[in-house]
Amino acid sequence: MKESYIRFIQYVLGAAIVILILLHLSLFTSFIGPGYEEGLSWETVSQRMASPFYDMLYTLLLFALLTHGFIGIRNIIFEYVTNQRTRVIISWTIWIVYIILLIYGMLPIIS
Amino acid sequence: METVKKVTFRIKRWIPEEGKFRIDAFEIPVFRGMTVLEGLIYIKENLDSSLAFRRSCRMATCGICGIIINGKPMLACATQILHLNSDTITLEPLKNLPLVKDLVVDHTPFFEKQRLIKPYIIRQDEGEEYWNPTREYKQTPEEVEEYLQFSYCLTCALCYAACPTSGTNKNYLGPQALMNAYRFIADSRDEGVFIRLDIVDSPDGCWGCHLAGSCSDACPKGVDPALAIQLLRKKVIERDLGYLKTVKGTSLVSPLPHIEGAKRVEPPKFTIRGAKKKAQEILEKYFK
Repeated sequence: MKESYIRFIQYVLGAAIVILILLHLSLFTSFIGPGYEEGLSWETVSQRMASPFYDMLYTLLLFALLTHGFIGIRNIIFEYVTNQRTRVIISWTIWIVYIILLIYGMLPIIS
Repeated sequence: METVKKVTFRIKRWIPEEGKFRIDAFEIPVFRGMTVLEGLIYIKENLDSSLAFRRSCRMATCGICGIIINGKPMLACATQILHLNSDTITLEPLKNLPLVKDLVVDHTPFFEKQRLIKPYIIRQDEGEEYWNPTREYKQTPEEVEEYLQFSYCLTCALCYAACPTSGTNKNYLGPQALMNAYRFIADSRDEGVFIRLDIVDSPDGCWGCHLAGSCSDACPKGVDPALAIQLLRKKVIERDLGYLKTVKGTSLVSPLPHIEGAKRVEPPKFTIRGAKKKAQEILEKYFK
């Protein structure tokens, strides 16, 4: 994949994260939602996990945060590792860990 | 010249035989308008003839006398000692480049990176006209404005020495090469935009920049390489989104048709034997 595609995804996801985080915080606080105390109770959480809207919201948030974070880690590592072969190995390692964490994060939603 | 005061030059000299730096201090008389380069010449002529430094034009045009003065990359010929407002001036060789001796550094990596981005006009319709030009490229003043600022570069390597990314990543193209890539992309006569965008689109190209801006701060000609790198990123994204489809350079016109009796200026002759043939071979191979 071209470097510019990766960076473009990084920029778009950065903007998406801001919107998703604001939505997430609004739904938990008294601004829209019930407030932190009630929002974190077992009943509310289990109720939300059963809703397709919340499933979609948190899947999107998980995907956006993980992708943005892992692209960022890749960029930082590439600053210090200049050997092309090592970069390819690091890149593959990062994407494998990324997929494992993405699946792990989606387990509550899948189950 | 009347001596205004005495100033101490603390010079961080690279000693290649020992493989380490040594700091020598020299006290020199300063007159009004005296530059750091004149101070170095004074030391070489009167105090220590073994001191090595580079200089040529003495008028901020050749860009070879770049050194670190009081921690900042500057041209020694364009920096007046009295303007530094200090009785002790520290001089060091440029950073991020291999050291040769004392204040002399090897510019080879810097110029190799500049060569990578193909710093010349690329045309698809080049043929006999390229080697034996009879006409000029049409270009409006507005089209010249697009790249004029970036064409003032001296290739002094001050931006390269100031860049923190060039210091940590040896493969990073550096501010000068990236700025030069944009300079030719913005040139309306050029048709090599996709070739150059492919070269700079990498973690070691325009995406390696950390937006520190020290390159623009160090530039003695106000070229602003940091701006050029951002414009280069914009071009790369435009290409990906399909805004840059075909790039057609400006057409050729007869030279100065409005001036009667205007004569074409002959291009300089090749000074190295066989250079023209070699250049033609490279060009033919490249466009095939």
